[in-house]
Amino acid sequence: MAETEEKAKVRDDKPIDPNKIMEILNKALGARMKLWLKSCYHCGLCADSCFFYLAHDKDPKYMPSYKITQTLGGLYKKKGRVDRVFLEEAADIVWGNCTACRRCTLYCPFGIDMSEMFGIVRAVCAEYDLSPEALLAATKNIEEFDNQMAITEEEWVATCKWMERETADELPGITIPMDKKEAKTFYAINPREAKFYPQDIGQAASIFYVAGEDWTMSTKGWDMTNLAMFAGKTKVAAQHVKSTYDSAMRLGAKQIVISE
Amino acid sequence: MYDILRGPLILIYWITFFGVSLVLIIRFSYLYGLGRGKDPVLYDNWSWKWALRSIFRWLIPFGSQSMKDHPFVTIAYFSFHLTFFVMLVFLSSHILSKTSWWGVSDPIADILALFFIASVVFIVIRRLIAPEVRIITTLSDYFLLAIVTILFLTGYYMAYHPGIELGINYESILILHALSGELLIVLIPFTKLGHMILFFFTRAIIGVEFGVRRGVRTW
Repeated sequence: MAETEEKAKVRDDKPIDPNKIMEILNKALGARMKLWLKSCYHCGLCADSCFFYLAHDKDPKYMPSYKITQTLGGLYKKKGRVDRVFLEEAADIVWGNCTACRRCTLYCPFGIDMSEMFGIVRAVCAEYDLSPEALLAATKNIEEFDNQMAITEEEWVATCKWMERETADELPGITIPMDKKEAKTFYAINPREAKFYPQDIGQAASIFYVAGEDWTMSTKGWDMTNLAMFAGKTKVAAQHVKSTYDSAMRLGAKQIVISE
Repeated sequence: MYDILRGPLILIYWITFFGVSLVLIIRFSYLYGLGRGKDPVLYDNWSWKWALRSIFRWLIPFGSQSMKDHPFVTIAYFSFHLTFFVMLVFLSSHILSKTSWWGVSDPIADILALFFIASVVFIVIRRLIAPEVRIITTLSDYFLLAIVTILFLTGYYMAYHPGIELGINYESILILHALSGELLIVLIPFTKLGHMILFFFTRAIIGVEFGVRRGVRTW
């Protein structure tokens, strides 16, 4: 606890604004969120669905409904008037003790979507840059490079060309189309493939080629992951999805296919 | 006493009932408007099929995986809700109209009442001893259970049971019975009792969310 407070003092650069927090909450709170906040009957059936709870020897602190009361519930009750320590503890819960797998939703008699509720808390924490550092770095990359691995357009195009040549040894005549107009399929990938496993791009190309599909890659919006969303940076996340969508529209593709 | 019950008390009952209904209608209109503006994903993908399936599977006993995994909880909560509903609507003593109506006779009602009390005992004990339930249980949960229990115990007492004679005035018991019932209605919009209406909305929403957008079931 003392350590957390110390850390809070060091990083206390941006004052916490209750109005800003309530603005984020209210913006995200549609009718269903209001229903969910009112619906929990405290039956405890969600506990067994959560692997964090099971993995911690059924420690009740890890059961989903309790985690909501400690995060979103607290923000709501206090009308956003919380301190940085509260937000840091909330961040530990929403990133450290929940993967947003939605299994609790399936076990809830009311079908309360707790992952979506944690998503809002993530957005509040992200406002004060309390997201995990790796996710913040990825978000920065997305803002700058339009993909989470900081791959430049030049590198991206070169990687695809390289894989085209490699794959042609096996399948002569194969191409990896780039920015082809009016293709049926726009194929978007995980940037990890381009950075660490480029052969995956060649293998996907082989499948498209052998199946005789009309497909294309794009110079822009080709990152189908959305780490900004996991970071709680909702604006960047929305922009990132839009980038992929806009590419599909620009190319006139009929469908977007994603890898993984 | 019976005259008072059939006269002013019934009137108060109806006024409360319509008052509460009005509050609920206003609230739902507000939520509907809010949802239309902010939640196009739900309204654009609406499917009665997925909504009704999601509701139905959670209305029948052991209709969902969650219920199958928690058989005792399922039995307790179904016996709680079913007996409550049957007693409320079909109990002969509750039927004041002269027109014939299928009713539950007193001996059956006695058995149902015992099932109800047994389920309340189970629910309270579970709330007290299961750590994962205890940690999220609030005072309001016990308060509502207490009111429902008073409602049932007073009802059980008023049905003629030769063995149980507490020497309490029948009329006071009747008034206590009527008032606790009234209180339950009044509390619907303001407490977790709202789940008797909200249940259908939240289940429909998540049924559509998982069903239409991902093709998976929520039961």
